[in-house]
Amino acid sequence: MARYLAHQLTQMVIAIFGISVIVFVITHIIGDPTSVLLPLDTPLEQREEFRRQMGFDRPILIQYVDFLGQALRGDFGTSFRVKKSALSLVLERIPATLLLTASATVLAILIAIPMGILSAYKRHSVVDNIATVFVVAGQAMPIYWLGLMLIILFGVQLKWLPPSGYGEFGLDRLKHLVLPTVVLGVFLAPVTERLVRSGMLDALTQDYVRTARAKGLREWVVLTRHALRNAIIPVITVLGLQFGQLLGGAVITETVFAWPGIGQLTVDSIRNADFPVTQAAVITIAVMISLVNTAIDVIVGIIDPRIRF
Amino acid sequence: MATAEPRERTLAQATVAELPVRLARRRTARDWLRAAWKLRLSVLGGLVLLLLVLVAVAAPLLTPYTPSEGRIVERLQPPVFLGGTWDHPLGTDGVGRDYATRLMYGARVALAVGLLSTLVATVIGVCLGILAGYYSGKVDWLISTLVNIMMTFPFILLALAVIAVLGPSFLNVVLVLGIGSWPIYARVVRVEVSRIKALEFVAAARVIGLTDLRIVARHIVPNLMNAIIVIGTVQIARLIITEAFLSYLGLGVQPPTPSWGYMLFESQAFMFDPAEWWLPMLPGLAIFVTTLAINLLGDGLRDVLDPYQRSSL
Repeated sequence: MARYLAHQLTQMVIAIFGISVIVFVITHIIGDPTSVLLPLDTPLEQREEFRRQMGFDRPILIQYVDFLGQALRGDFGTSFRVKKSALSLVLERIPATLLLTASATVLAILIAIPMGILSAYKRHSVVDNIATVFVVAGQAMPIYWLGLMLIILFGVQLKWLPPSGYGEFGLDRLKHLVLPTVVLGVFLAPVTERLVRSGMLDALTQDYVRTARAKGLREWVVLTRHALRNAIIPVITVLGLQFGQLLGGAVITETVFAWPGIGQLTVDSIRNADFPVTQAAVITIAVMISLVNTAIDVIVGIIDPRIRF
Repeated sequence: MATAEPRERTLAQATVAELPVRLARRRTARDWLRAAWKLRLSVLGGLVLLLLVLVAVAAPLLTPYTPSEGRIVERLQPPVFLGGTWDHPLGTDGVGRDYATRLMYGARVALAVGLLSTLVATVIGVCLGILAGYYSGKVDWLISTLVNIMMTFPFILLALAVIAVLGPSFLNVVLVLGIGSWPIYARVVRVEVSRIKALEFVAAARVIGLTDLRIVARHIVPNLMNAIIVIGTVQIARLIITEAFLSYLGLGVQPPTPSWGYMLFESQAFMFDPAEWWLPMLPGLAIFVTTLAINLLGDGLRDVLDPYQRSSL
């Protein structure tokens, strides 16, 4: 187990290191920070002087080591727009993102598990066909457009729900949460449904299901207690590994609904060339993803020792 | 044993002379129709896509208007299904440009970006996938690690960052989407190559002294084509959705070139006007119909070309 754990942690460190290189390349090599920090009409000498002051004229490797050293201490510099440390701006956005991703995951599971069970149990039936239509349409859906349509329908025309924003803590927050949750849920549910369905199709042909039926158990019990329990393990694994994709969906959802999460902050900082915040946000997202992935790997390794090596 | 009845022979024991007769039956029109009916949704998807391509290519012939010039006095005319006139079947936008014309020209951007960025991704992904699968060892480790990192991180964020830094343009969008989405090809190709390179015909090619390059080009790549086409189709749809999101944020193909994503962004100004809900609806619908058609076609292609990865439909 210790070896497995060490391997997973190494992978995690490599992944975060890799992302830090990519971010550094984007912000320091492809992009010239001075062009963002100084007004367009700055004379060349002043520009050079500024580069020297900021240390942008040093060898690129040294700049990277410097960047990494500060990043490890949680120091990404100060935001160009708000006089606050970049990391604190990022960290205060995490709860909103976790709230949205958690509620969307719950919604996706509530849709996907019954749908997946039914469409595997009654294969090629009407239910299965409806599920297939849902999956195909969901995977082709541009979710930012779905978000706009829901805002227009429920926020503008019917006035049932607030069109965007975060709301006050309490019932108001829940009302604001509904539409973003539906959008991100639609993003996540199709994949989940296919996983449940194929897992169930596989489980229903297994001997233990036949045995359970032979014991005279009710079909409901066979489906949920015997088949689903086995089908659900790969679903959890894949959902965990898809956490990065889910955050990608959250970036889009948060932008459309002005939901003050880490995704919306990142998009904002990118559009305003606020590099310290972009760097802090991207690295934070990478750390979140790595933590979730590693946790899932370890949990699965504990549940199913065959996966360890 | 020696007197076994002839009809008890298995297919493997059939004489060579008998086989061609069974295998070479010509496919009749009925066979094709039956196959098409089985894949009817994919056929439909293919036809819709074909129509979209035709509209995109022939846009100037299909409309009397241009996508970038509008008459401000004719602004915000409703589409025919909301009581508008046939002069502007899908209405006009906030500066009086014909909406149908803009949607038709928008198809050009969507399809071109989708196709070109998928090509970029395919070339990079297939080359790196072959390197990793064929040579294994350190090369494999390096490429696989990069693939894993890129596939777990939401690529939309890196795409946004790179475009913001480079500046938005058609070429930059194509390159960034292509460079950001190659890992999926590399992952699949790597597995396929390491499977294929252990097969006898590759060993045979090596024995007769062919170079690695020739073995890869003539014996391995042809066996990858089906998988590549199947992934590529789905990827085109995904990248069209991503391109529209970039444009929606103003970081995609720049105006005056009409793109569906940017039309979505422009229409947001009218979102809170209860009468103008059709403005944001139409460009999104165009994206949705396009990606749906491509995905349906892709499902059929997978069933035909790649029976091992057949979906559980």
